[in-house]
Amino acid sequence: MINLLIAEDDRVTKKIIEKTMKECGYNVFCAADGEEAYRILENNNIQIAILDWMLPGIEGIELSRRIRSDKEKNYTYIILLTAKKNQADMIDGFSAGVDDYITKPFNTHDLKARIKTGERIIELQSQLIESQNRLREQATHDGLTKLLNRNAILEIIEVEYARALRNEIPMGMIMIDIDHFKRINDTYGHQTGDDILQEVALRLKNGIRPYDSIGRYGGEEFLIVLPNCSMNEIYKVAERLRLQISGEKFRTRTKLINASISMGVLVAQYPFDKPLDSLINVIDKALYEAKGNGRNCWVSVMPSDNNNIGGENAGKFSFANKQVN
Amino acid sequence: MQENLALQTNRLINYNEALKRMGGDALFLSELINDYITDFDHYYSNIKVAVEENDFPEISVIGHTLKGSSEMLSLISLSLISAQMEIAGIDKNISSAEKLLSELKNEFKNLMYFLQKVKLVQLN
Repeated sequence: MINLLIAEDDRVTKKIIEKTMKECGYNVFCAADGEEAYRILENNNIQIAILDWMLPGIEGIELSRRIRSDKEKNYTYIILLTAKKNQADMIDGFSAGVDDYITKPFNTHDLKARIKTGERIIELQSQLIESQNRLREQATHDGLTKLLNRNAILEIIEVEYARALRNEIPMGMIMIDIDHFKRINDTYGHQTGDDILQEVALRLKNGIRPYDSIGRYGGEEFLIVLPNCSMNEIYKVAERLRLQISGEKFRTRTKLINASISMGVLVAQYPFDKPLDSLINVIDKALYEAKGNGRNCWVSVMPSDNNNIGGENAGKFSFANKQVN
Repeated sequence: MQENLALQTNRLINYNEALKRMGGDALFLSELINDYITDFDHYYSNIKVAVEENDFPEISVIGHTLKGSSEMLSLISLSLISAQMEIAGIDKNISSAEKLLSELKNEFKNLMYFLQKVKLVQLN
């Protein structure tokens, strides 16, 4: 139902509009002065506003300017209602961002017809927003797992890396690869492989903290960024993720399948003077170290190594945990 | 009663026009006229004080508001006097405002007499 605001201080006019709008099936809010109208606009998703020009407190034309200056909110279709009939007033009204201008005395049939135009604009606007959201979702999310896609997670990592530098706080990353995924695809088919990918994505998402971000980095690779995360905390997260994947078989369209993951784990401690690319390179190597250690385990880069990543210590990963099925 | 009334268009009210504006809802129009009568006392008291205190912005604002509701109900003479009152406020013309205040009161009395006569409002 469309939310409609009537800002009118004259009881007779307000009553006429209110009755007419309720007959049209709108959810009607009423305000007798500008301040009250502004409060209603701030606290409710008002889609159509009928504003009297001359209101006590904030005038209708000023309300219109305020509505238009707030770019964050959904579009409000504004009808300015006034007894001012000259052309200059009308131009002032439209300059303040109103969509339609009705002079008193008005006919209720005329008002209904004009409101229908507003309704069409609101409908078009919601379709546009819906379409924009769908496009944004498609551009930033992986269609299969519904996680962030590679570009989106890398953008988030860049933002978090900058934030960590600015706030002098640590930033954790976990790179994950599903063990023997090619074998799963070859043995059970790609559709079963897709089932595994979807379920792994879901379990990983459920295993991270609410403020962490996860994305599909490659075919069967995932990347997690953990802002302000200590080494002890990231170990707990990594181990929890490992158990969530290996602890329960995967129900796929073909059969119940065991799966596991290997992980490279890193916490960049301030001051980290290496570029982000180097960190991703190092964590990638840690992941392959985990693969080499028998899979279903995680390998971390110790904090002491952070300042030397990419240098001679790059290969000195500490084996932190290993558990084989 | 309403059919007879609808035929009567005088300087006080164009009932037919007002009824058409309300989509033919005579009961609703009657309710609105009663609201107008109730609110008029409040507007009149305020505009009287404004005239006594030479508060021209207030004279103009109340004149404008009264003009709006009078026009919506097709109360012809009252909307004309209110419109002149608004102008008197804008022009800061106190003698005109004083004259109009008296006209406003008289014309409202005439309207009440007429509405009671045609039984659109009840006698108190």
